[in-house]
Amino acid sequence: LKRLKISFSFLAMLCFLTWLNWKLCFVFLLSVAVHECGHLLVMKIWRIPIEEIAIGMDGVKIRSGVMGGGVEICCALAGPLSGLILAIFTMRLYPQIAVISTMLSIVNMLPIYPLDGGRILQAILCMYVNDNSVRRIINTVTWVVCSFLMLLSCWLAIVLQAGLWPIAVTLVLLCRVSNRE
Amino acid sequence: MVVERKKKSLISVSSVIYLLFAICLILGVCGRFYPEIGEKLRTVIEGSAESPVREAFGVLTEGLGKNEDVKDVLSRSYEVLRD
Repeated sequence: LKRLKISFSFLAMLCFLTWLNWKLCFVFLLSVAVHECGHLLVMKIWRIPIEEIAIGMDGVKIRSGVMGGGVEICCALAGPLSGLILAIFTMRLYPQIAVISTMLSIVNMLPIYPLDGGRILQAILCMYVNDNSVRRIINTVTWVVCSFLMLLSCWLAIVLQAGLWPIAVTLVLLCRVSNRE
Repeated sequence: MVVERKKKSLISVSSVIYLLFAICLILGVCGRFYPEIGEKLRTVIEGSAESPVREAFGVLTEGLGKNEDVKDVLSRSYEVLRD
């Protein structure tokens, strides 16, 4: 690892989440840590150099060396899988960890490009169609899923009175999408 | 052209991030120095205590903690959400 970057926006978000509910914040951070460890473990096994880990408001970004299609799929799958393994082990003793870890894995498996599901979709598409088509399909799928998520979060906030957090989560995801490289 | 578009996109992304940063900061300060306003804000963000989403989360975690069947717990939480 050459560089670890922690942004101020992440620290602000951390303060805010701690104020909101420190227990859930801790559980969420633990789930994220296990998820990222899954990615890092697979990278270590395949000996892929890790250039940078950036922790920001829109999540953790691991910048690494070039990966082949198969390795990219394994690496992307490792995060959600490790989250699900954590959920299985903590289901009876710490159900909150299990539920949040499962939710995190599900969100990460959505076919939105910088997320794990989007990376898997891209790697699969790259095997069958050309680069331009891949980009077009990925952009369309991302746009459709993000629109659906925004509608769902508005429905949760207005109809089910879930508060503003679903909208905030979707906005963070949108930030991640527009910040992709 | 491409560079300009990239610049614009970077500006829009950073402005969203800094807007969120400012909201977090304001909410944090309110919570620390004005607890009453902080509590109201907390309800707005977390949702009401009787919200079906919170109830479903409670049913799910409670059921799993009591070693109940996962399928049963999931269907009960779904019922809470649907009602």
